[in-house]
Amino acid sequence: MIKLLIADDHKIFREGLRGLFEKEKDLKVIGDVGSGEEVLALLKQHSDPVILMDIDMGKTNGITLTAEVKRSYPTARILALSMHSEKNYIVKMLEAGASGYILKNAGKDEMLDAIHTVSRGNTYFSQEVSSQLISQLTAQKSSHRKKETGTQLTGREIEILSLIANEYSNPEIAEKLFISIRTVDTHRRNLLDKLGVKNTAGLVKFAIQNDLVD
Amino acid sequence: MKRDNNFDETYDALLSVIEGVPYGIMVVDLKGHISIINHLALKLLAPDKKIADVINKKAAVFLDQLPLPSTSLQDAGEDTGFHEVRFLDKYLNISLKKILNGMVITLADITEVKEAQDVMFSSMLEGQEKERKRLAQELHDGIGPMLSTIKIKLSSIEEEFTELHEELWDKFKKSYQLIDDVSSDLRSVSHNLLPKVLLDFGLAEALETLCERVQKHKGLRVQFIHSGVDQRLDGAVELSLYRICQELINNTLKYAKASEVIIQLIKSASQIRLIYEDNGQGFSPHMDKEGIGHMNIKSRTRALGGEVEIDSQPDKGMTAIVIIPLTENTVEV
Repeated sequence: MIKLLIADDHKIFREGLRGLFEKEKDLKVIGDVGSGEEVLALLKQHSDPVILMDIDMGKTNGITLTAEVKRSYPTARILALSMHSEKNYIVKMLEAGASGYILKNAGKDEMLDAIHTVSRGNTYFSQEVSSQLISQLTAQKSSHRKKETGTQLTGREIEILSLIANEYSNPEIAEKLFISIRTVDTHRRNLLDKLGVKNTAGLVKFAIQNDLVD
Repeated sequence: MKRDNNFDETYDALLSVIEGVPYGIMVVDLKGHISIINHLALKLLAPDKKIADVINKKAAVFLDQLPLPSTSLQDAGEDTGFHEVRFLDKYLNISLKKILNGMVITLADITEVKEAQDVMFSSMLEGQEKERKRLAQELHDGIGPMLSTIKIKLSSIEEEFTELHEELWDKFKKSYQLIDDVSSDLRSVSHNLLPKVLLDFGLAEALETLCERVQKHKGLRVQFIHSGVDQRLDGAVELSLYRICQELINNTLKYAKASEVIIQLIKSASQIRLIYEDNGQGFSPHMDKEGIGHMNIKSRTRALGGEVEIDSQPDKGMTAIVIIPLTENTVEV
């Protein structure tokens, strides 16, 4: 028998979920509540339910509540429930100790699947959530690469760097690229910041080292 | 006018008119020297000089300091209209026109008007943002959960339908699908009104999400590069910069026919720079100078004490640069 605790600050939604789960023979809804205090109060009586945890419950922050619950009741399993699919929320919930993450527009089958999986001690992510996590991982990989090389120059910046190193003046660069002098100036500043050099000589040095000079 | 003994009188009368109008007036002769200048023009262009110092001197000495579009002096006479420029902490409205034997330049001090406009605009923005926040919350708290609940309820009767007529089942399935579509639309609308990611995680994260969404749903390749913005900024600054990006992206989607956008958010010791580039069809700087979108961007930037330049040429894409100086107010305490 899986004990289920529903935590969401929208009453209609909670009741809808309750109605859904009450039909299942292997689930027992021990409560549906809308705040952190109520969750903790119920946990005093039942220490190892599966908690369907809304991330944003108004006064109560689902992420901090998850961390708190896991600290005091490590056997409780938390399934994050949210309308947000942005990876920032997913990662934060997982870091706080959630075992899974599903979106509120999940269907009945998916929810039941998630609850069963999580109650067995495994993790569960819906399709959309998985793809978000994967894109987060690949983004991290590329930003790690960024930090290693220390630079990430845009095509335009490389163009301008090359022209600077080939002795074009700002007005000449502006004319050649059909942009304003002010734009050239800003790109120049960015180059100084991104490459960590102090002046034009530094820019030219980098350009030479990277084969940008004719 | 009759050229006779009364000439001097007439001339003096004219000069007094030139001194009396509430505009700076400067007349430049064909050799480029200042032939006439009134006190107001002097005050606006070179407050530390006297009239005697500038008469017959090259006008270019003063005009070159003004951030006028470079073609304006050549185009004068073809009615280039007014140019709003910022000079010596004032806002000036400048017009240039060819006249007999030279060119006349009119300068109007519109600093107060601009400031009043800014105040009005700030209030409007504030009201707008409050309303958006309220709407986003209503959607999120009211309609959102109701849709989810409908889906759940339908979901629970779904299995009882499988024994039904295939046609009925089909209809049911379609309605069920519609709820997913509506849910998705609702989340989009709510997100555009006020993205929670911005409030909870800050500007860099929110822009990253925005760029991903645009790329996914609108098929436009958007690259986002940021540096130095791991620390959060003041809420109003973050929101304004976010809105500016939204505006720029919308403009690109609507008019530019671009395939690629690069957005850079770079924080240095003294300023934050937002550089937006698209590879679309651009526009002529003399047309569309003040589309509503651009006006919004300029006003928002001014409200933050910053400057913006939107630079474009036909078929050469568009570059928008927003620079916000950093003070204790801009960085989050």
